[in-house]
Amino acid sequence: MTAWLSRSIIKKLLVAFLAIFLATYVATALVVFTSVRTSIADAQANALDTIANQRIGNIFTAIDSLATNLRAWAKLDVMNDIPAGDIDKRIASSLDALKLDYRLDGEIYVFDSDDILIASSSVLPDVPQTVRPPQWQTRDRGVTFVDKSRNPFEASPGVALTLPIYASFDAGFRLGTLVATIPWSAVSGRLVGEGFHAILFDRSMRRVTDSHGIDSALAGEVDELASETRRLSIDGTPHVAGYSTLTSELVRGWQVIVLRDLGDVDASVNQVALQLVGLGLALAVPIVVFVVWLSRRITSPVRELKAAVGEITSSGDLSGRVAVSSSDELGTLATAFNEMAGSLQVVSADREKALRELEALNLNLEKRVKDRTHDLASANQKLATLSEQLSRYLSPQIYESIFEGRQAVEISTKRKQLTVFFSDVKDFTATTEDLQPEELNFILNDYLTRMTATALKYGATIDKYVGDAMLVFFGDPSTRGVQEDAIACVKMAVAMQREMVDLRAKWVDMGYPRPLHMRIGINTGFCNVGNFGSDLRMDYTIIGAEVNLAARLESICEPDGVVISGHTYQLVKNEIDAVPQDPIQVKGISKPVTPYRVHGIFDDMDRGRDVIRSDSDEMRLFVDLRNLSEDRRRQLAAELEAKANLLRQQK
Amino acid sequence: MRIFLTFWVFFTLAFADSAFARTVYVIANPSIQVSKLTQDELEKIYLLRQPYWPDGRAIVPVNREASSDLREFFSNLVLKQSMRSLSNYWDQMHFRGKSPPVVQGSNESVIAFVRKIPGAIGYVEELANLDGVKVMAELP
Repeated sequence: MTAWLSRSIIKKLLVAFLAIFLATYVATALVVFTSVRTSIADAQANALDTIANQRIGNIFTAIDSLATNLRAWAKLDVMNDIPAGDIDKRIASSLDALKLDYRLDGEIYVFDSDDILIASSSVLPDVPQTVRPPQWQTRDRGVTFVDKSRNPFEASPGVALTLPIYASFDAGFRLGTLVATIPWSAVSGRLVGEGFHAILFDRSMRRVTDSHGIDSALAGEVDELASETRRLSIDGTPHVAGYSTLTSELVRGWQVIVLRDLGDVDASVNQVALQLVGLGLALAVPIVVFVVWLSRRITSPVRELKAAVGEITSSGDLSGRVAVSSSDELGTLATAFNEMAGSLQVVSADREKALRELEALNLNLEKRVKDRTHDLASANQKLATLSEQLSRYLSPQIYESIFEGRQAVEISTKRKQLTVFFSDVKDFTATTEDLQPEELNFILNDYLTRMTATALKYGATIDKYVGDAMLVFFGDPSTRGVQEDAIACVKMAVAMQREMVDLRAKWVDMGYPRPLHMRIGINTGFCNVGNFGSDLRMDYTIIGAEVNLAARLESICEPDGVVISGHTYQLVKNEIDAVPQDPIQVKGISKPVTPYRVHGIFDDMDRGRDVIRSDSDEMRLFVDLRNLSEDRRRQLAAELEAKANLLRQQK
Repeated sequence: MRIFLTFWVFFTLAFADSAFARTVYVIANPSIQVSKLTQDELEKIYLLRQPYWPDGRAIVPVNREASSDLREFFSNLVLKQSMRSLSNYWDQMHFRGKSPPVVQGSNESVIAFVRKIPGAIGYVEELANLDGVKVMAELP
């Protein structure tokens, strides 16, 4: 639906107008219909009330006029014949005449003061001494109404009026009784009418006296009738009821109720509804036609505009224009569109030109970018080579931390606990003086390459090479902890000395008979580490007394040995076998320093069956198996047995 | 002329014969104490100048219908007035609120009425059955 609507303004307008019309018309029609229905219902009820009043009025009038006549007849002179028993039949002939003259439906009866029938207007079987029926009671001097009852003189029931007759010669002398009857058919006949059913309801007796034209006994509806209900159901059919309001002095409690089938009433309401629907449809047709016409009129400029835009879009020709047919909003829109198309045409031409220029510039730019990229690539390549070459002059850790940006290249130092390694080749100058410079170059490079590889393997930071000497430290820029750094350093030193054994064998093979011997000093302590120098030339290095101590320890070291300081020994003693040496005096340190000479690494010795080692807090056992004679070995075992027995005997 | 005279004589004789031949009996309800009435008393009663019997009860006089020749005879004899002058008299009495005497259509009905109504008085012609009433006078 929404999709259908969104396709056309005409449809939208049509639906909108129809919706507005429908809503307005339905609301109006509902109001009209409701009020019409209400007024029809009211009018119906009032009409039925009026009919009911007419009917009961007819009946009351008939009865009242009969009563009036009865009063006049009672005063007739012939009534004086009652005492004589109407021997002359003057009363009887008078009654006949009255019935004829007044066109009475019923009969007139005269009884004497002993209630014996004297005369009547009807032809009665000749029964002597006929007595007045008990229901024909009289009261006072006035007319008495006798409700519907059986009449012994007539076949059908009816109502009766009774009046006592008093003598004209003596107002206190009662001659007898005058009775006039109305057959029930005459009463009932006055209820008959077209299009409704009238019933006679006795309010005082709460019963329906006559339900003319209705088969139902109406016994079940008595309560509703008594309470004057407007709508009630009779034999399952809904009826609307009208109630008479007239009363009579003579006839008490009678009420006429007029019933009409609700279907008949609704028929007129339905007629109104049908007319309203018809009117709605009749109005809808011209409205639809008008709305369609109006929509077309409104949308025709829009359609022209759309066609023009479509033309421009499909052909790309911006010279197309829309015909301006009016000066309203749509005319303004068309003018604005034409202006826009004009300026677009100009802009489009400018843009075409700019595009062409841009294309030329682009080609140029591409070439230049290509050239620049090529230059950049070659510069990069150059830089990479340069940097790779440069890296060899730096410790890899320093190189990495600088190149990865972890360490700023600036003058700054920090104080850190480092393990400092210092090595030298004993009598290098004397040893190498008879070598050709190329041979010296080879040996030195071979030596430094192997040592550097070993140092890097153990994670050392190589500070610098000074001829045959090396300064290496652990603990910066990365550290594994002071103790681990110290152990790694000592292990590296041991490894370097072992490397030297291989190197020496190699050099002897190559024909260098005086091999090199390396000395190593190691110390652990707080040093200043960082960039030293100026902004123009700086060096990443360490300085401090602990560095000097390392150099001093190296100087007292035996060739092919490793000497460590007391501080370092404390850190590595569990892993490294070392023995203290004679204390030495060091410049700048007041107390004598005890150096330790490293024997080897315990793990290596255990594996090689060189030593027997047990290291715990309570006991320290170390047996050097190397160069041990058989006798001495037994002697030591016996000694250990004796010590073990001694240990067992202790408590 | 002769024929005319003959008819006149015949009619005069005929009327004279009947007038002189009939007897009117004045009858009354037996409960009435009075036993005799004179013509003057009858005149007073029938012109409603005497409404009550001596014992205080109302007198109910009964007339015959206006067309009756007995009534004409009685009126001429007792009331000594023609029917026309009587008619005027009753019109005047009517305006005073008094109704003329009750009318009965036959001798039998007069007798029956008088027999039934206390205080009633009427007149009949030579009747066989006068049971239940008493004769107050024989006229003339």
